[in-house]
Amino acid sequence: MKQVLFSLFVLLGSISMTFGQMTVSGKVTDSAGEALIGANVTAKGAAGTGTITDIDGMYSLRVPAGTSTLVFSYTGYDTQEVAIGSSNVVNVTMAEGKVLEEIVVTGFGIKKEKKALGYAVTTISSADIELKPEADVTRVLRGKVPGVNINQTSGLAGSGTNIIIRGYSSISGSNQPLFVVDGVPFGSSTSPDRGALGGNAAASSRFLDIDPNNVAEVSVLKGLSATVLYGEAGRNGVILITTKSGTHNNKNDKMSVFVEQGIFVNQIASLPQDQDFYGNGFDNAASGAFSNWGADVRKPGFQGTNLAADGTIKHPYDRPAITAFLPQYIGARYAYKAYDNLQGFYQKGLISNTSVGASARVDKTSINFTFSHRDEEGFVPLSKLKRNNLSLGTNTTLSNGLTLTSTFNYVGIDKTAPPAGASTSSNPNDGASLFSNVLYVPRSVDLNGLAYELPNNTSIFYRGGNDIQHPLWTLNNTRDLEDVNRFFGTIGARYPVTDWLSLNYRLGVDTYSQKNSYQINRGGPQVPDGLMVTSNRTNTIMDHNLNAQFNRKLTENFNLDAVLGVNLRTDNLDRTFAASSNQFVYGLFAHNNFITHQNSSDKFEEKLLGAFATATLGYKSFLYLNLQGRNDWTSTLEKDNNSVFYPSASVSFVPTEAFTGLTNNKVLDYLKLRVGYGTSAGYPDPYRTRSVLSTSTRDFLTNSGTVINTNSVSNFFGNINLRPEIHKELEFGLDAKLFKNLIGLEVSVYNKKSTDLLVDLPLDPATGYTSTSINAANIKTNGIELGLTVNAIAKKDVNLSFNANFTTVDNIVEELVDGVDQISIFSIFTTLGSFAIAGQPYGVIQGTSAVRHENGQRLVSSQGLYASDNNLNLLGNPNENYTLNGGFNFNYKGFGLSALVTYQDGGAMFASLPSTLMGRGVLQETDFDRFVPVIAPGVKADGTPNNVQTSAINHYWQNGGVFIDEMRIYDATYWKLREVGVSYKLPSRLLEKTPFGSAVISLTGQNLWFKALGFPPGANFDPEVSATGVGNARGFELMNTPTSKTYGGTLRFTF
Amino acid sequence: MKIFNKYLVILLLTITFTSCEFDLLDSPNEVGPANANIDFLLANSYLTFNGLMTGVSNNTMGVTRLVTMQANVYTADNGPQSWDGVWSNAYAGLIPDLDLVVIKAKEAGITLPEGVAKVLKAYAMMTLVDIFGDIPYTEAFQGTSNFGPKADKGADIYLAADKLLDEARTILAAPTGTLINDLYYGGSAAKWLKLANTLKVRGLINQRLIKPVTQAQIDAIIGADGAKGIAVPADDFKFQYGSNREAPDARHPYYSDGYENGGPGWYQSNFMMWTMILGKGDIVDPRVRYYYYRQDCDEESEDAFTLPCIFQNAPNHFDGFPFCTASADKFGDPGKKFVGYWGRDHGDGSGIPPDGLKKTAFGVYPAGGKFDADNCAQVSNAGKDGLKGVGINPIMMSSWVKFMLAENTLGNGGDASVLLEAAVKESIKRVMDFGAADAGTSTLKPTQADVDAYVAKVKADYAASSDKMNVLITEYWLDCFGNGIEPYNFIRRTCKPAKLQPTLDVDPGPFPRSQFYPGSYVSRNQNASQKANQTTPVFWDNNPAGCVK
Repeated sequence: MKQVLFSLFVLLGSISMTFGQMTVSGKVTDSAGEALIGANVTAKGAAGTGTITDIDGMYSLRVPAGTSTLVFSYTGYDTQEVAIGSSNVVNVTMAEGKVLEEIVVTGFGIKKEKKALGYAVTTISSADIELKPEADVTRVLRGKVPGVNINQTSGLAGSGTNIIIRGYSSISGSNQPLFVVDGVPFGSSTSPDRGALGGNAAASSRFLDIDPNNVAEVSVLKGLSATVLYGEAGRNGVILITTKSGTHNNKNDKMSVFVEQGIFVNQIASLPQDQDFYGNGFDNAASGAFSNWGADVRKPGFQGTNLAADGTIKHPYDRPAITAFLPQYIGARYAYKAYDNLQGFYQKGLISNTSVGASARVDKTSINFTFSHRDEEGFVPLSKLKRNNLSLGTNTTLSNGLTLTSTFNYVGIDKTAPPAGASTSSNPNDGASLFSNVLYVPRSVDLNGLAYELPNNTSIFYRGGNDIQHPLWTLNNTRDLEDVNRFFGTIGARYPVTDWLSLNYRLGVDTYSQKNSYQINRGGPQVPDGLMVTSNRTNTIMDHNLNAQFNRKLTENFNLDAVLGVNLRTDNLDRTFAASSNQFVYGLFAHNNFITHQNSSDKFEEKLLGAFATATLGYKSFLYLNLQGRNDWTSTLEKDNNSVFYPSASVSFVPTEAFTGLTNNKVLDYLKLRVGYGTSAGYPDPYRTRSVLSTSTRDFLTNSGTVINTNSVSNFFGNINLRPEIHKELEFGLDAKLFKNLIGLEVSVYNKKSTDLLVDLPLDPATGYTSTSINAANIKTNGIELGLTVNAIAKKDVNLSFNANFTTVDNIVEELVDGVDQISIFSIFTTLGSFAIAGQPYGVIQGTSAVRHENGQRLVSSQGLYASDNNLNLLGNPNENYTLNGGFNFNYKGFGLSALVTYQDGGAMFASLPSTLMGRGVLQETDFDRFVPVIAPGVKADGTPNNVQTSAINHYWQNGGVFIDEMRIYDATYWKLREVGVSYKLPSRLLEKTPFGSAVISLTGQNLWFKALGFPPGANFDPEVSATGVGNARGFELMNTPTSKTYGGTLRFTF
Repeated sequence: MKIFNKYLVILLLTITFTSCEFDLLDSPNEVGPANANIDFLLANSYLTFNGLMTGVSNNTMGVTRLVTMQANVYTADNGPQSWDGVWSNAYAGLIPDLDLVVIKAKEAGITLPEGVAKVLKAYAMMTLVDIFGDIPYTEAFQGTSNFGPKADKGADIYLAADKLLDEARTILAAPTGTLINDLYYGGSAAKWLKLANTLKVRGLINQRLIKPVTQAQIDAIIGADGAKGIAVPADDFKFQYGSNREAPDARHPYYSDGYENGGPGWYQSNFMMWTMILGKGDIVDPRVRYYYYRQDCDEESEDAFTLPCIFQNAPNHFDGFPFCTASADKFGDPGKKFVGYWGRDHGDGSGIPPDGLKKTAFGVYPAGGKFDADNCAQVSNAGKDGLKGVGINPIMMSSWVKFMLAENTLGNGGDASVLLEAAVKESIKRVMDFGAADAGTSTLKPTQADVDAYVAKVKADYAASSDKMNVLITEYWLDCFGNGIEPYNFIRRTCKPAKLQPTLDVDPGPFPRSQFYPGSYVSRNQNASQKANQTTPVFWDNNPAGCVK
């Protein structure tokens, strides 16, 4: 395949054409003398004759003899007509026009004037991305792009990030966008080794490998009419990232160098406010309970509380299992009081970020180099992230016009995370966790002061049965390591056949190996014998793209801009797993130091071939019609179903250019109306169409030592009739600038229909199978995106602008295939998860409720308690009503100040942590007189209001939420001060005698303050977490890991 | 435009070239269905069948008081989700494999695997009917061509199962072919035939309330001496566990649960333990030290947090029953003859205190744990204790067949005393023989005199009692430790034992005469709907409402 493409390239590259009779040349600059790249130069009266200026602002144009005038135009500048003098050299200085029109990067990296686009694209420049504490470029984009929901899984260094653009449109498929870095697809998946209960949220998303400080620009293509050229991979939107090393618009010939050093503090953002008067125990008596419903520390010696008059209790370590090793605890007493546990357990981690870069241009060759090193400590000592990024970009134009570009990037990541298994109120549900037992540690248990191990390295903690692992033991004996080595790069060639036709070929290679090692020493109750699980993934994407680009004025008024191309993408994933259990010698992590071993491996190969075309016909400079289409052939579907064509069409109309009368007022400066229709498809993962035989080895070992290996009919029913899922979207938009650029407004409204959705459908086992893949659902998505800018002050030295964006998405599951009532999107337990239910929003949470009386009220038992009904009931919609982001930028001379605030309205969340802290009597909200009985709201069996008293402890513990899912659902509405920045650019006169070209100091803080209105205030809960990791489920918090806040500063020098 | 024509040609060529490399539809990670092998399919079926019966027992031992039911009320004992595993094991796990065995055996021209497959299929389907009542059968096992198989009448499925058993009996009487790694009967067609015959009789006796079963009917199947059925312990249909601790854990699941770390998860039934130690006056059940292992022999000095009920009073409706533990002197054991029989009462759903290393654990039978020789020490020692998990899952034992036949005889107005005595003796011998490997020479092993005294007491009670069925069924119940489905069936058939420990909650709702349908069935099958309650009996149960509490 490569050879075919290469020979095609050579063949076409050898074609050249010449025509014209006279050559005019010159340079186009702006008023400051800077070269303007890509300015249009046309010969007046000679249709089809034109060129654009090169990287130095130079042009050379053959014009028909007799041509007397050239027309120069450039977006954002006033068009000029200049007479050709006798010298055939015409240099022009362009004046800035009254409306700045933007150039944006669109599909396949093609730059277009924004006004020609019939769809929405949001572009974020490096200034908004660099010099931030975040390692993850997408987290920096939070709140800055309407229509895009970016949700971190946790505040752990290097943890995954969930990105959803314009709502969810697939049920079993991925809803994550395509990442394209420097023009080629970039593997961005999140590959956890464990499920949600085992702590998959700690797994990193592979876009973590991109250094935000090396990003020149990010364009977000949201609608299907924008992404159609990317084929099915683009159906969830495309995040186009141009790296600094992939950028080649150097303005000058000299070398430039920059150095940056950032230092930030990383600390836990959400520490609960605890009450200080009641300690560990239950029923108002001190004991080694999980809970904090114990004695009142203000009443030492009170009868029946086990609390002695001197304020002590029997030492929790005065028990035979411990005193056999540590006799000092025999008869020891322990001060029963509130200890400062959390403050001492968490730390302030340091983040250091160093970047150096150089770029140079010699003649028609430019080269960029950047290196960065990041060293991040988490808010627990166990969490660390190291990243090295090395990148090189070159660009050269040969004398025959052939331009060769290349980028080479290496990323090395070394991550250490704590185990972050989920918990619903106590010990981790599966495997190990650092966090599950920490936040509810009873107030009278000295987390940081109690010894954590016996001389034989066994964990000890306050519980008599030793059934809670000491968090400090976890810190010292567990590791979840990730080691990534990644190379990604491109080589590309562009040959201008004529000044209106060019041929382009680009090969992108992205390959990484990700090694994970999950290590637990023997000796803790969570995984008593120890464990070592390693996995090794090699993921490779090869992407060939060959296209011809056509851009020509057809007549005086019509311009055609077209691309025709073919794209071949191959994805390969190889995985190997080795799980060793039962550690032999404590402390050593090598597979050979474990007694039992289990290995497995698998591989996946997928090919996608696409042929595509796009054409934009422009009429004058105010009406643009764009038609696009792509046909894909996939290797994951049977031959009859593996080809799908998806078209798109859009129109952009700029009335303010069409009717000059419209702008002759003080209100309207610019108006664009657009409408776009786009389609896309989605393919299943490989190997879903054919049934297999399940085989398994070593299923059983008989008492006489015979190993039993087995065959079985697979529980997965291969569906040979599987078809691609289809997505269709209609989008309307409006861009306007008002009151002399005081106000800028962008609006997008869309309606998306996703049909034949691929579903991994759980089957009633009575069918003989438990699951199949099937086209089984339709989803309708409506959304509105608003962007507003107010340039309140725009003067030479003072600038103040406010910006706000608003997003609302309505994601409804319209219908499911006959015979299916609901589809599990994600299952936490069989009684708790996210579902697709016809007529309901995508991903509604279902779980258990309190048993209801037939009158609808909660039924209270004769003991004054609720009962769980054990059924799946609709508990809430995790999708927010809307999100509003607002901020400002203020600049005065070299001083800058900015802030960004987010408000999310609504969205239900199942949250373990606040409900556990409440149910276990830890939160400040539980600081009440605990001897006063409570009457639970509800009715008795006869329907009359409940009047049965129960103890406050029973009510909070049994009725309060740990046992009934319904009680753990909160409204996730929150306010958040997402980002605050201050920067100062040293005046150039201060730098005159230094080697520095510029010096900037910037201070940034992220996630400095938040307020979740629907949670108990004492929980100080940040709902911006996800226990289910990267995927399609939303709205679950399972005591995995809280969020972090970061603040610090960066110094940046250029030479 | 010439250029574009060239383009198109080359484009098309490119597409053609690459299309031929597109054959990536077969998974490189699995083998195709054509590789299926009869013996490996059967191997999986043996394991899945054991998993099925284990799941059934786990969900029925609570309600039948063989272990503690840890739900306050009956509706909360086994919610729909708790049956998903059983349902999936049977319908998606076991039966498609068995059906494929039949196809493959016919292709290969041998019959023995077909016979075995049909016995297991019949057993599984009858068991599901016994639990749920009406369930899918004729429309089941069709993949996506029928998403919503409709339920058949339980009686019709019993008929279909009986037909499968008859086909199997014909085959097993003169089989061709062999079995490799038969985990139940070591490849003996004769024993599989005995199981098939026994299951046919069991099916009849299950229906005896609606269709009385004559001795002649039974004799025609298993012979007048019963020898064509499971008649001696060597014929027992049981799953033998191994001792391998990890990869795979081949041990009895009770052992893996309790003898590793942190203590057992199961709470033993105070009522069953009390029945064994104090239910017959001074006569102690010889099996008690085999069934149970006491970790802590001083339950009365616990604090209120670890064992709160020790500081409470028994509820009024518990009069005459043990409360809190089987050996707490205030209630069940006033003479304080026993210590440490620390389980839970029926329907005690309170939270879990740190009692894992203290409460009574499963013993040597059937879990493969330790014989209780008054050691009173915790057993969570990383799998080093007792028989190391080499236990059994008792599925259909020879003594149970005798109890079943006795029940039918008595039900028909006959004298069951001979069968009862034989069954009790066989049960005690089986348990003691099994536990001998760990009991060794312990002086605390029951003597022959102890056994004889026990048998004599049962005989005397039977002779003296006006409720002979109660005497018989109580012994049957005591024999079924480790199996839930037989007690669940005979309790519904006979409404005995007559005096079972009530739930702690005065009003636990009605005893489940059939179980809720599994969540996976109700939520994924459009033709399925959940039962309003658990009071609908299965087709063979015509006893009055409320006969069991």
